[in-house]
Amino acid sequence: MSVIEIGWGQLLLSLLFILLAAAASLYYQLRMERDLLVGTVRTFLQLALVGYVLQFIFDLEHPLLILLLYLWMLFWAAQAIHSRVDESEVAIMGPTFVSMAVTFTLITSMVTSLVIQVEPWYRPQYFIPLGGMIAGNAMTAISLSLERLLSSLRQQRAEVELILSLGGSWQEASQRLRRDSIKAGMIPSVNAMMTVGLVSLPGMMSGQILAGVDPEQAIRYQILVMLMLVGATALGTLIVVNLILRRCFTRFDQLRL
Amino acid sequence: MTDAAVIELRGFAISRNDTLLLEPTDMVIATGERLLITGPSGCGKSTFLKRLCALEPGNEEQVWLRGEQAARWEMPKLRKTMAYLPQTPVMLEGSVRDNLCLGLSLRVYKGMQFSDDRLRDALASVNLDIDLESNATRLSPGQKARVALLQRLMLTPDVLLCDEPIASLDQENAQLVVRVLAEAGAAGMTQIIVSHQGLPDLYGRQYRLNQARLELVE
Repeated sequence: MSVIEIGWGQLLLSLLFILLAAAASLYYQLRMERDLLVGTVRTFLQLALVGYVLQFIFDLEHPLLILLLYLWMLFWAAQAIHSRVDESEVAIMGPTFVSMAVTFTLITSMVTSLVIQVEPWYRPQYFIPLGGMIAGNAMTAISLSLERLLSSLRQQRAEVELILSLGGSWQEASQRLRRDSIKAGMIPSVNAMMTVGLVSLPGMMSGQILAGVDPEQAIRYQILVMLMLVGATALGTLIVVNLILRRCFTRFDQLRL
Repeated sequence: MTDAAVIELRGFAISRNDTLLLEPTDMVIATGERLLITGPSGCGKSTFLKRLCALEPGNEEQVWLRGEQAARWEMPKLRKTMAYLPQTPVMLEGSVRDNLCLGLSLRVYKGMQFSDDRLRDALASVNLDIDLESNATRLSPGQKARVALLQRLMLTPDVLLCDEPIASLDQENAQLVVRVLAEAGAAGMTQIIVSHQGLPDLYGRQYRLNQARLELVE
């Protein structure tokens, strides 16, 4: 199988799709013309930029550069969680960064070195896209579980204090919350395993098939991706919930929030 | 400090959001004593109880329980010894039995067990004619209040901190709860009871929390 390369001229033709949307926007007065324009320009610019950066890194294959890119992704993932989970009373930045870093590093390196057996394990062609998927999914899972944890600690304050007042330790008082929060973060990736292939083909697999990869290989990669994402969301939520939960209680087993 | 003292307060003060709710107070409470604290609502009576058993932070170094500073206790053991009953009863999802036995799942009560007969006797003692299997969250406020009281009494704490035990009860059930508390007191349980309306038939010292001071009512 071979790939038909898309030239820039052909790509410009795809602007027809934007024009279609713009026409609809004008006709129905959706006032989305501006967003469409900005969005299109940004798509072109951002992806072109990423393309050049990736090309540069792939060509050099220098560990230090990959490390830099890795830290860059990590920083933005932690930043995204921080801005999404709005919390003023408990410091969440440290624990989210730790959980992101451990998950990203451990799961990605296990996938490249143990499963795919890339030499060296940090080869950017594998490490960056796989790590990106892991970081992205871990990020969503971590913010889901954090949101659940902090909101239910506040809503179920009476239940938590009831168990504390009977002589429960902070671990005993928060057992149920811990379970629910970890679950909340893991459910999307577990549910994804249930419907994958039935409703839509996953983006990565479709991409590989378009790029001319044998569908069977593409499927094996996709299976690996599904499983590694479950591992990543489990590990990430587990770490972050445990780290944050400890901070929600004082050393005298009192609820801090 | 005498041997009979179970609780001692040394310079126990409460302030919150820059308001002084209680000036530094010294007090000794003897084993088996029953104390009533009255005062208008919102004056800090509930906070007083919650700080005694360190559910709220701030006073761990001003409370001595059995001669040991609260800060030096393991909190689960401290709260097993000195149990707190909140004003609004909280029932967890589950049956009446689950809620009565809630404490038994905790490490500090390891080995303790209640038979169904014992649970039924306890329910009967507070005039509760409900099934052990019934859903606890669906009980009426008055029923919940009595289940919550039993939940603690059955764990036989040395000290019971009671926040407005009869505020949500009709007269008949209020009298019942007062009697049950009196019986537990007669059996040696130290009690500190907070109530804005006062409590009938209570023997023991009575204080009034007024303008951030605990005044002894003669």
